[in-house]
Amino acid sequence: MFMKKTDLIFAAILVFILASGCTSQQAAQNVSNSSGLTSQLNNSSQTCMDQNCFIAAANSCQVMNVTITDNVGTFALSSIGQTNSTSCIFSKTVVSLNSNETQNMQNLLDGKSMTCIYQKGNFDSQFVTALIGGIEYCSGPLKDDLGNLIIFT
Amino acid sequence: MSRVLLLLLPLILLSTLAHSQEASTWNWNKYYGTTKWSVNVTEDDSGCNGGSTSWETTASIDFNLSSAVMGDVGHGPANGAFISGNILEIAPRSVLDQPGTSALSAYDVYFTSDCSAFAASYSWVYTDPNPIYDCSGTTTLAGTNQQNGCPNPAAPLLENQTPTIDQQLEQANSDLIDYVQLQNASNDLQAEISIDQAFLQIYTASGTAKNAAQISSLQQQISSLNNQLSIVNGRIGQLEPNVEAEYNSVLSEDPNNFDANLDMAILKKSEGIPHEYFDYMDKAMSSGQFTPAFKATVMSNVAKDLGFSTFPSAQNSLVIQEMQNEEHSETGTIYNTNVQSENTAHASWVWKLFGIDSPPSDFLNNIPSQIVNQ
Repeated sequence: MFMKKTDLIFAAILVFILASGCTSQQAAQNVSNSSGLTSQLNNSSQTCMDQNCFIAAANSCQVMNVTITDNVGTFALSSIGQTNSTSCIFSKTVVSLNSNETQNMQNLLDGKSMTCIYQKGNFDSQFVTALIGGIEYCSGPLKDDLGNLIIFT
Repeated sequence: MSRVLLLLLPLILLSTLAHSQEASTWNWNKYYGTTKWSVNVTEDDSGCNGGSTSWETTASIDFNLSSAVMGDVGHGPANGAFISGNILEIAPRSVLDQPGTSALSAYDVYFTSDCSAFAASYSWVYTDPNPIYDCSGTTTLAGTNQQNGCPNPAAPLLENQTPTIDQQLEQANSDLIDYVQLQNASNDLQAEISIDQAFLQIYTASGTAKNAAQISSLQQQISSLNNQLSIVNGRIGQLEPNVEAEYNSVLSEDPNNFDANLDMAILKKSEGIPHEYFDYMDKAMSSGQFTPAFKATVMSNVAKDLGFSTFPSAQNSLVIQEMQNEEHSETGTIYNTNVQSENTAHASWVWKLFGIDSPPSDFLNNIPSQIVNQ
């Protein structure tokens, strides 16, 4: 009966990300099976296609998802907030590392996620643009592994 | 007769017979120190529509004469008091058992007098945020001492004897590991509550009638998590002053003690006091024990934990290359500290960053102890 808390957090975020409008067919199936919440999210006038747009949306704690690829790999980012609170949540998931990365590193990090809580208007853009910038305020398997990898830099 | 006594009866009878013919016998309630055990855990979940499962784990037991603390074997650390030389009584307690809580019965831990084994068994009642999942079961423990025989005869502490620095450090380190695990649990719970509250607000804004089931489930979950957070924070509040006092006692005798300064850095980091974290790290790193051999051992331990057969480097890994570039070009603040006040080109900066960002329990487990075995 001992279940990992972080698994529950990321399962919840994954359901939310899928429900809020990814483009895959599986995600579309999940969207159409939702209770109506996702249709409202899908009808949202705002979407983001790049990191600058996402950073601006996250800074105002809007519900937003984006997938970004850089030379390190492909990352799924999401932000969520509450209208009556200044506390907002950012999550970052490694979709896949660059295929030129070592197999050990891909095995370690692929699929791992972390969650960072921040204050509205104070979103650290390093959460998006960097690997380890700001992660001292994050938690989750991705943060733990990146923290351990620092010893090799 | 309980399962526990059936497990131990042959050993108890043999050791009792042996001791009736010997002048001395081992009593754990006269010992001060930490020992490591391999533990077979058997959990009977038949009351929860499950079966019986067994697994092997390891746990430390911190002996403090008339009391002891058994490390986590699945339901968190357990404090107990000896009711005889080798029987440790554990009081009933409630523990986190995600997503609910479990109420554990009182139980006795029976140690053999040749120090080789222990056995225990207890029942538990699990309470879930959704009552239809409430159920009960039992857990049986069978421990084997990882060290052959009883501890060094010189190690047992007489009641009027002051523990040595190394004995104090062993106890403090064990308490610190429990503390950082509790702190991690608290941080995880707070993050989970924030996420659930955000989802609750979204569902509520979307329509309370059509999302009634999700709203009700989230409200129950948030309530349960807040109860769990309260329990965890209560235990942190009890443990924190003891841990700090234990290390301050060592540092008052030996201000440059490497282990104590390093562990205090991690304690301060867990307490969220950045400038004290850096102060203690500086003291540890200038103690003379922050050697190439020490660093190599830590790196080897971390590589093994992460599943690397060779060390990743900027030469063979894009991830390490990117991390290195970020460290060398860092400006602004990291962990509330102006980076310009630190020499980020110096190798010690990497180690300070490692202490900030690696999980505290991993950091403590991968650091080789400088304690000299007595």
